[in-house]
Amino acid sequence: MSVTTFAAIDVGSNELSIKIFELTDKNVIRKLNHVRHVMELGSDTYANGYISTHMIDELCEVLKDFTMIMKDYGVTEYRAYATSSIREAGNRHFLLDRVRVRTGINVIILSNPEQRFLMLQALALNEPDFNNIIKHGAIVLESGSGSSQATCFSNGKMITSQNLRLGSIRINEFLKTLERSADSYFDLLKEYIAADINTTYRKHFIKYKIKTILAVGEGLNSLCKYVDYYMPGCSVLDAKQMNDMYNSLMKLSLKDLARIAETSEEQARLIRPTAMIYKQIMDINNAEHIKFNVTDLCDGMAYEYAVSVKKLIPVRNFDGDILSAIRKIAIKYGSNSDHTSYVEKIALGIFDAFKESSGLSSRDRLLMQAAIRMHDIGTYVSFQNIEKNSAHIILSSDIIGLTSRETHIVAGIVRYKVTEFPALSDMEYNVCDDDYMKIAKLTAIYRLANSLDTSKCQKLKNVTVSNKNDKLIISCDTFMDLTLELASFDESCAFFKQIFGIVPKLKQRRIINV
Amino acid sequence: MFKSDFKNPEYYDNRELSWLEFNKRVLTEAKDDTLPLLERLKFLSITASNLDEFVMIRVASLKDMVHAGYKKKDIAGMTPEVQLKKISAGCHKLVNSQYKLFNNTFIPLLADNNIRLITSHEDLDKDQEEYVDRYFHQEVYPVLTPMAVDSSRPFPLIRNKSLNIAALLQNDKTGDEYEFATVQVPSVLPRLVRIPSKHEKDITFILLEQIIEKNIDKLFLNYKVVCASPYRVMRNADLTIEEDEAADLLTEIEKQIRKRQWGEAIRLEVEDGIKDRLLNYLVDNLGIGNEDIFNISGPLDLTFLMKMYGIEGFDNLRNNPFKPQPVVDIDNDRDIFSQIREKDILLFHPFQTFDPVVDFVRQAASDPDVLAIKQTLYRVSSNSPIISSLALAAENGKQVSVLVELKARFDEENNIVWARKLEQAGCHVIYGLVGLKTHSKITLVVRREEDGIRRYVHLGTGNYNDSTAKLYTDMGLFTSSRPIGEDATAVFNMLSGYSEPPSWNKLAVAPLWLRDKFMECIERETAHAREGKEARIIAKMNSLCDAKIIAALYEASAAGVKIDLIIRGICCLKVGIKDVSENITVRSIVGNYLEHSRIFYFYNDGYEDIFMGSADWMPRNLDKRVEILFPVEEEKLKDEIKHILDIQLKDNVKTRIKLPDGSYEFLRNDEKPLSSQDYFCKEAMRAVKQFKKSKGKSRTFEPMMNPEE
Repeated sequence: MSVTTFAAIDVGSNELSIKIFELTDKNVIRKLNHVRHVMELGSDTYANGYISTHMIDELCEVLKDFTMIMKDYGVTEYRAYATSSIREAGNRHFLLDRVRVRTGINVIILSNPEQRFLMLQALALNEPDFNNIIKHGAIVLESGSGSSQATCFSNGKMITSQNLRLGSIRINEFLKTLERSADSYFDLLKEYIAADINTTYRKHFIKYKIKTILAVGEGLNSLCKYVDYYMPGCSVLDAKQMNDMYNSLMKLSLKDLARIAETSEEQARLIRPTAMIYKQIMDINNAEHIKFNVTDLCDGMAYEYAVSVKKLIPVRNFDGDILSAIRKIAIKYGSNSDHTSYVEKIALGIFDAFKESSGLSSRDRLLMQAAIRMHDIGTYVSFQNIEKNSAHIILSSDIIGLTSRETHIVAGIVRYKVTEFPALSDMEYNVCDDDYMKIAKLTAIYRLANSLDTSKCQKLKNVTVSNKNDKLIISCDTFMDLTLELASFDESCAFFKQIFGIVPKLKQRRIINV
Repeated sequence: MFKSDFKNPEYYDNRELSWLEFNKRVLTEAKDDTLPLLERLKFLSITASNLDEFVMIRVASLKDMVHAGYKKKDIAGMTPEVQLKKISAGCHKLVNSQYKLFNNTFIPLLADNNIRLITSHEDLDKDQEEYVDRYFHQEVYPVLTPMAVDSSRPFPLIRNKSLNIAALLQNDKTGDEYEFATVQVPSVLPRLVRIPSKHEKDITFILLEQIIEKNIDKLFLNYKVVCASPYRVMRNADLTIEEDEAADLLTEIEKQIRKRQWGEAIRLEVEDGIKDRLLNYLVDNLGIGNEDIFNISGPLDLTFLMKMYGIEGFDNLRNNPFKPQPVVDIDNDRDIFSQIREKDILLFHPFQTFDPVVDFVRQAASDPDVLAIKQTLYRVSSNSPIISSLALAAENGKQVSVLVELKARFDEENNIVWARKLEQAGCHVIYGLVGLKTHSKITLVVRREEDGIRRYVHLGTGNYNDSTAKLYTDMGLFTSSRPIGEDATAVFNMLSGYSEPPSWNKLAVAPLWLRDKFMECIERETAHAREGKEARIIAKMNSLCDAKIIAALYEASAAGVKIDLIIRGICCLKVGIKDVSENITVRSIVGNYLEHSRIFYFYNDGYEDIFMGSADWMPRNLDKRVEILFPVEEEKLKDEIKHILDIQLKDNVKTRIKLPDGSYEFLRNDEKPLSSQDYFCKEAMRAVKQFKKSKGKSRTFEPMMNPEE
């Protein structure tokens, strides 16, 4: 049996942690060690915009220790991910370089959607009731120290995911100065949190029926200890229990809270803002239950790694969730859904017909679908520069499930779906060689499919695509005039040939009423 | 009865007085005429060194409290002043018993056995006098530093615990007033000096101070020595605050510390018959109170008897040495890891050898599959094989982390030396935790095996010290249990300064969780008793003086829990109080080996829980130290431990039972005499014999296996 040990390092806003995992061929991930070091990197970033030298020194010291822990278990593979505290720090590049030189650890900054998607995947693995919970409507709420991410599931599919800039350390840093002048710190805290939840949150989430709040995130350990103290052995609370627990929590002195949560008073200060965020979101959605789950980012990293080296069969295919969430984005921006679905179908036909010889993967298929679904969302802003606007919206949206690179590929396809395809050096976004080729190939397929609905009237019926000996033939039935489509088809064929070296042919099987 | 009633100070014994009781029990061993003479001498020596340590640490600490005006009462409702008064009375009584035994029994008995100890130089014959004088000139005189006191030379600083000779001098020429002089008996020379014997069969010793006293006039030329007498001073030199004391005391003392003279004298021992004038001079200059003066009718500082115990020959006056027996569950020809993998292994020292523990670390050091070794070290022997193995492991590229407890009392210097050695070899050395002594005894070996990482853990009740493992009774457990392995990792994470784990699987760790664990177990028995179920606690430890635990035990007893405590040393719990402790027995086993294991048994409604660990039921163990309590879970091993407890409870030779008045008396009953320590020695030997026999008897042939398999 081959056994791999893997280390996951989370450079979080409130603590640095490392988990050592053992991956066997038996589809099992076993945790061997978990070491945490509390260090509020976030308080530096959120207050000053950069991370101070002494914090960097401490970071290096701890990461150096982590390398020793890795050696304890003969670890050869690791991932080290940083999140918002480093992502938002002005000196992140210098800092990460220093870490690399001093400790040998290569820390990668995760984008917010990347970070959240890792958590969702790990949650799907670790929460045994995941599929059932999301079937009945659930918000996965990950309240961190820098921000909170709310992901809504309805009928078993992901609907939307939004980032709220509400995080325990961020709130504490902001309110620190006001604390002395406020009559009641808790009222102030409540008001501050309610402001965000009543506007941003309400707009996106209120229309879905939510039964369960699934609480996850790095700030949860201490809160969970309190929950366990309040209701021993209980990880699910109904609305009343949550309310009672919350009230008792608010009454405690900080000292008692620290004692119960087995943490320092400094850390205990973060428990109440976190609890408040959960409570308010539970209330606004009228959720019946809240379920606490201590899955963390390290678990996500292990999941990602295990799947990538085929030591784990994914428990849930999130492709459907990603696409359904993208459809919601498209609808939000008033996308033309008939045209979009029509083009998507033809494009998928083309993609599947010559997938073998195109050098593209099924993941690329998903990216193409994502691009098609959002290709015209820029019209929401203006009918001028639709492609540019669409691409901008894509890059500014938190699309959960796509990595930062993938989002750039999707934006690239949308950006160059009509205008002349540029050389790599002239691309508007920074992309690598591989991604440039992917954009080109997927754009070529998309353009070809799109050309067949130039009039946006879905004139071609029963479209089928075949690929024999590198001859790509698109067959269809139609009874309408295709002049417009044919002109545009020829044009896209030229680009298609340039990319794939193949000239597609369009075959009309039955022509009625020419 | 209300819960708070169990906290009534009347229900508690003072810990210092209880300690004196313990030392008295050790003294009864010295009085035991069934023991070989030199063994008895050893026990007397132990009582003397015990008392020295007690005065230096405990009495000093109480004196600090008095100076700081600290009036808080102890567990038994005594202020520090009252305690000191009672301790002083107790100490005087103890010292009198010591010397009565020494003079009336040991000196004649030694002589009967041809060992002569000359305690007064006046008893020397001519030849001996010559020998002694020559010895003084050649060996002693060069290392002496006599110091006289006059108007220009103040009273010198007399070193703590040192033996000195004081003298009053008179100037030959002027015949002026007396002058005081003092000389330290050099500690670099042996205290016990062998001299020629009057009779051929005998061997004869004299004490060094007698040789000096005899020749004292040679130190002060032009002076007449009016009188001279040995004396010994004990000082409060320990400026660090005892971990046992309350935090508020610490601040008090810090405030006072600058006001206090350095190293105040807290005990003065002088030989009986010292001239008043000389004594008064000492008393005035040392600033010592009457109650702290000990008039000794014999040689001061009886710890020299330990040297006498070791004299060559005379094996008939000592116990036959017992050789710790091999552990039958461990086959030395096989690698230890595969054996631990098969089952947990229990070790019972010194009846069983400590070698497997040493081998465990040694094998780990050179095993190519071992990735890391982690260990806590509290007191190790000099030249410890464990240290060498750890160093070797680091040189072999293993990750080696060692927590070295520098705060281990009296061992600081020794510890620093080998800690450096480990660092040089490439080990990661942690020098203890701020504010906490690391008292736990745990070793973790991380090994990469075919089916993944496996952790091997040794947990013990005693230190990783191969020398004391021959003298202390201790228990150890080897296990490869996964939950314990995970916990062991968490312990070392904590010791490296990282956050504690969200929860523990099996181990209970002080200072954060252990007290709760014990309270939980005791209260569970109480609840069972109240429900009318059978409830029972057997606990074996070195000391019991934690008020909360004792109150919980009282409550348990009142509820009907049957409690048997086997406590070697201090026990502040009182037995036989109506409605409070009628169901509790306390016994103390003091024998040839120092009882050191801590074992805790809870009946738990038939689901018996057995734990072992490094902690006593003392506040310092539960609140101010890193300690580990571990469960014994394999049924076979649980049975073994129950058997050990059972035998100890049946001991009616070395067991003293605590009486309601706080004193102890030998347990005597109609059963066949049973000394548990002897029993375990024989049992260990029997087990080895039986094992060998069963191996030899086997009728089946044993095929040789491919060693690779």
